Amino acid sequence: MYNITWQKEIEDTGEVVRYVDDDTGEDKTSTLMTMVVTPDNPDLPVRTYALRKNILTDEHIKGFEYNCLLEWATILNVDPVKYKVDEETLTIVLRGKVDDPQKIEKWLKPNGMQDVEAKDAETL
Amino acid sequence: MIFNMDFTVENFENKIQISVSRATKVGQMIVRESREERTKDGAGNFLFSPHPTYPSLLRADNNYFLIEGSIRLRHDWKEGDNFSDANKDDYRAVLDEHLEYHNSTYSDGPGWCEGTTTLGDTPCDWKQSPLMYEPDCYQTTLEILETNTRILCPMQHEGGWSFEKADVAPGTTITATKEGTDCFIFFGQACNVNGTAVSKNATKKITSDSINIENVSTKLCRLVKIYK
Repeated sequence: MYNITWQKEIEDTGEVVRYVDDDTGEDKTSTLMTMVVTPDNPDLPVRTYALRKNILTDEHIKGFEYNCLLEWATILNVDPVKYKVDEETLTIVLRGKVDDPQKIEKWLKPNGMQDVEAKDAETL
Repeated sequence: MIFNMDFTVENFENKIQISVSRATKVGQMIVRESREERTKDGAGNFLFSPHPTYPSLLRADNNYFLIEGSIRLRHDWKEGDNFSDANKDDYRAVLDEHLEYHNSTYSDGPGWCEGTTTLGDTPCDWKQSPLMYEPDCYQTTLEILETNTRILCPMQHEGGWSFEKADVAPGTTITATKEGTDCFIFFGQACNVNGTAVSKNATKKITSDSINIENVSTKLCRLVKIYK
């Protein structure tokens, strides 16, 4: 199993940036934030993102980390058929891994009529 | 359990479910990760039974059939499993009764054994699956080795079904006799049966005592007979 870990550092650079408010059309200012994502594996590249402070959300941060993980997985030749990056946990997981006992039970038995309607086979 | 390939599923008469993998890619797999994950009938009863001579082997319950392409099948065991390294020769002896080594390989090591099988192009008459028996171990992995490999997976609403396979060369004909009360045939390639065209991946029920099946495709056609 692949285990890619990293550290992230978010900093307000203090640099003022101007932008136009999409809703009001007003000229506004914010400060520039940077996020440096440093993998614990030194063979993988460090990635830096920059974004205005007023739009930097947890969702953006997670999205950046997800993109890093996708890139690092490619560099490490993680087989995309067998593995995928889980968006929620930000880990590399086996595709098709079923842990829920109820779902497993469903896989072990033929589907009931409610899932696949019975039909007659053509005869020869 | 790991299950990452797509299947087309048909339910015939609430008796047998026929599932065929589709658009498979190299590396896709089905993994049974514990003894409790062995397949069951519609009521939830396990379908496996022990080998009459070798108690460390089970009559396989999943009845996967390779229809086209190639696969790897691997068994892993650990301390506490019924199967151990000491039973590998027993398993090999049972495999040797059925396995066609011109298109299969076998290897093993401490705690594991595995084999690869390719459909190939050599025809054969009706026979039981070489994978009818398998080690009674905690984990079994079926892995796709070729793009568009097709796997047939019949699942039983009630146990007691039997399975046989035959491989028919292009342009040649084989006879299939009806067995049991309910007898289905799955067609791996396009065929012609007594003048009727049958498409690839079709499942038909035999009501005649016997039928003649001509493989009209350009590939070896694997037929699977499923009866009870």
